[in-house]
Amino acid sequence: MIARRELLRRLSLAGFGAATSPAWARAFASLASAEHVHADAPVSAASDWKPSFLSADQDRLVTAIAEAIIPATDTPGATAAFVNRYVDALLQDADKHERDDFLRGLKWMDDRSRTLFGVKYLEATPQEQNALLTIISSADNDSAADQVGCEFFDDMKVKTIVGYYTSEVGIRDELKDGGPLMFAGLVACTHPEHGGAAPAPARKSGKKG
Amino acid sequence: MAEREVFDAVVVGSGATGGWAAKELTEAGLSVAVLEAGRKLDPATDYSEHKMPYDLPMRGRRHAAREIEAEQQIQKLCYQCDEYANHLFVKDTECPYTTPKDRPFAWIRGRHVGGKSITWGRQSYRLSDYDLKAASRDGFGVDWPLDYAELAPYYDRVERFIGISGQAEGVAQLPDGAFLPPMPLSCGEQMARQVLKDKFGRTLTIGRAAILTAPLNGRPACHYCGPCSRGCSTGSYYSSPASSLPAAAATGRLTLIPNAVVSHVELDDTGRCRSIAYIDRITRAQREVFAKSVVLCASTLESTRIMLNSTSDRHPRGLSNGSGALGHYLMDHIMGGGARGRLPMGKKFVDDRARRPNGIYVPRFRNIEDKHPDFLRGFGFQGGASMEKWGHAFALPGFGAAFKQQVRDDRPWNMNFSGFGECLGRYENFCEIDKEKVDSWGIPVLHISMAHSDNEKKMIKDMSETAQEMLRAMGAEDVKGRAELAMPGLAIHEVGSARMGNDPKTSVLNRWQQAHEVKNLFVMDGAVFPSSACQNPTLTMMALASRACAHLVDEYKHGNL
Repeated sequence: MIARRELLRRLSLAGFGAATSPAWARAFASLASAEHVHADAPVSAASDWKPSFLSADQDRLVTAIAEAIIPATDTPGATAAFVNRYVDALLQDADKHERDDFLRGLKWMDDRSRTLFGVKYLEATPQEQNALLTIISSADNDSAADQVGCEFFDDMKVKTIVGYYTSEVGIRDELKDGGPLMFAGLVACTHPEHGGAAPAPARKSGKKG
Repeated sequence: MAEREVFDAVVVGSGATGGWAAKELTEAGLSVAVLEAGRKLDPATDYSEHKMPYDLPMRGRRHAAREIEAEQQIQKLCYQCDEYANHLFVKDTECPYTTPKDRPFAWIRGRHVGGKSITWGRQSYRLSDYDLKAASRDGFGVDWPLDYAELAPYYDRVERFIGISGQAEGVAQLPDGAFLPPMPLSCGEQMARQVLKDKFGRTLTIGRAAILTAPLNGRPACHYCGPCSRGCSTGSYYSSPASSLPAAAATGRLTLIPNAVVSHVELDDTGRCRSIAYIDRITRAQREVFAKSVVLCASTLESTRIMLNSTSDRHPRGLSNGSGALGHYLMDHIMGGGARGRLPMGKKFVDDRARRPNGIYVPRFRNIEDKHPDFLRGFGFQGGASMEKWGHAFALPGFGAAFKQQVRDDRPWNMNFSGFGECLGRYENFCEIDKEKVDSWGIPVLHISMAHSDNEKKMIKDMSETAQEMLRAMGAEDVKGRAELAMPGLAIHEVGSARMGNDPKTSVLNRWQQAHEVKNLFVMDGAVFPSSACQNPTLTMMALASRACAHLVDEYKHGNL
């Protein structure tokens, strides 16, 4: 029965360790209380929202660039979708490397704007802002001087696309997707050229919280 | 002191098979204790299928906050372990295991009442004699100790209770079942079905899914909200807490014990199972549950771990391990081979299938009639065709109003095929107890050593080539193949390691999933598989459990337990 005794010894040691080690104590406390951590309520819609990571100036710059990428048209744009708040949340959670890259990009935007137009980005005219974004969004731009700007634009574009199309206005207004709807059934393909002939069932929708 | 309670059976694990075993055994009149290592879930707070991305700080796109992520370095490799649902996966820091440096294995787990039946993919396919008797056909490995005719009634039994939606196709290698109405194919999938039939003689069918398309046994039909893997508040897909466990509880003979982290099986003086020893997950007290029979449904690797940790003079290498096969012949389906492309559909055909929680299935076509020159066995394709909503935006150039309009106008129809292939059962792929390491409850952990062989590598290549070939035949553009064999474990179809067989010298369990060396010990999860086939394994695990339960009840009624 040696192996069995060994097993019991290990079990009892582990139990004892739990009471003394700080790591154990933490694990134990989380087991006994919350069980698991729920994500905080989303910050995106709060009226008194303030950026956690970005400065107020940096937040304004992020807001402007996001809106330039996906502007309000016949549907709301990135500002109404709180893309800037999503970006701030990402940066708040990001590691130093990601944060540094992003801040270097923001600074590059102002520096480049000063070089080209004599003022920082937000003080440039809409035409000038557009010109700068056109330069750094071009797939053909392989100028070393624009490298930081081009990488920053690509990063901002990805963040803006995700932030916009996963936002409430993005989903409901732009994608015309009613949100978490309940459907009575699935609409089958009815196009004869695909061999489909099923009648479309009535689409019952009701908002589900 | 009250006389200690002795259950007729104790079931370890409350997932797909544990729930099913509990239902079968209690309905047959046995008193049953079900031990579950984790807590009970509360659908109101733990299920998040109706949450929208904007309800979450990271929009569901990230795993979770960094401090949580640090506790789930392995679990986060599973795409479902995200901001919505990461709490449905274990903390790797609590339940560690080890691997050789050059043989990584991703062990994805959920410890809570219901286990992985909360997060599973719900795809449900029958095996056929092409699978069960594969060794006789091609000479590799061992046959299963039963054939399809023997298993079919138990597939029927499980399907009629849990509900499988699907389309009967009459394909010999993928037997039809007792189906609820199928979900519809999309336009692109209709087209693909026709092309595969006309040009390749292959079948493309709607996924056979454990999702109700009609009410069944008191459970409502699916309402197509979409993200099943985050839990289902209406219980419209099969999960044990929504289906089999309530049925077991209704008999009045079920005792469910959550937070019971099982360490090992205790034997009596005659060498039969006497009890299960467990640690209370929260108080850490050591406890014991006594029973006339033990049923392990703890999941493939956990059931094997319990047996390996149950050593004694009689069983120095682990329980019922005279053969030395315990821990060996571990398998996991291979994946990472496939292709995607843009279908020539045009904007005319708007995809309005809401959020169908299901894809398509192309049954295995290799080594059925012909013999492939490069590899044994075969694979099935899963995937689907749908119209992109906004995922194509990343690849569109520019910015501004024109860009936004282009995202709206240029929604492509994309089709994807991803293969799941058979993994050959090899002695060299195994798990054993790591003598140096224990988990948070002091229980010795597994050392898992697994790598795919040449056969699997060649199959992955064929998956990619055949998927590309089929897409091109449909007129797809931008066809891109993939042939990167995923890390073992990531298919989360791990099976084997306590295989059943007729020969006690080469198997751990007999043809009734009863331990060769301990007559009142049964294993009723994926650990018993002698070969992996290529179909998603859960339905087969449940059918096998159903059959094994029938045998257990028979033994019980004859006084043999």
